[in-house]
Amino acid sequence: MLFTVSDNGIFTVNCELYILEKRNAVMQFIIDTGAAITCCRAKELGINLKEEEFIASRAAVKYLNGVLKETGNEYGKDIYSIKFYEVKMKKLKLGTSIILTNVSVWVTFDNRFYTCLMGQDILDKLYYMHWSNTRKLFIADNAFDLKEYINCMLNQRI
Amino acid sequence: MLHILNQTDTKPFHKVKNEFPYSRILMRIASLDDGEGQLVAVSDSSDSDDDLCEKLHEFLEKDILCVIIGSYVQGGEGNAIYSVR
Repeated sequence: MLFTVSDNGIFTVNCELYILEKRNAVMQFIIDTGAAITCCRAKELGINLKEEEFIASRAAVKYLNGVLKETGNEYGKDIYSIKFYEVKMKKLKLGTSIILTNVSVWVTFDNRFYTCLMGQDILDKLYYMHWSNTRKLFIADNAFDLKEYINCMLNQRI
Repeated sequence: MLHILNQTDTKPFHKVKNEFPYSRILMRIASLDDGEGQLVAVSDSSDSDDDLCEKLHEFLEKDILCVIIGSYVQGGEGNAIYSVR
């Protein structure tokens, strides 16, 4: 079980990322139910990552649209998309208590994008609930823990 | 530009983000569950964001727990919704 505190309306979670056995990075992700993929800038995952190597290895690619909005009506030129490459993680640790295995994080070498989003691809594997009176978001990796915690919170209020 | 601050007092993330809007900020933390930490460095432009990442990995190599906070999207006049194709 883990909870994150509302941070001026934005829920964030600190994570450790492991491509193999060794920890590759620590990142703060914004929990974004509107994002389909979990993504970040490549250099934050590893300073030695190179786009050429992703191209050579034919890594899976996805494009995020609608992040950038620029003047003019030249949507046909597709300069508004941001390209992401898949990096498969052996382990993703959320806070100190939740560990997910075999998940993907999508990285970009596009300097226009610099944020870390935890999208629905990972959120789908979790249970979460917003607690309005405390403005906290509770996240669990199993329904039983979340239910127990909610019961505990309800009992405290009575 | 990358600004090394190495502050020793502990501040909540949201206060630091308010202090340095539109910046990426390297914070030293004690635990992954923390929402506060010690401000280490600030990158206030995309040119120095990679340097901030290098700093992050330098600390992690030494087993010092750090995280980069603060986020923004550059190059656009505003943000819209996300979609993936």
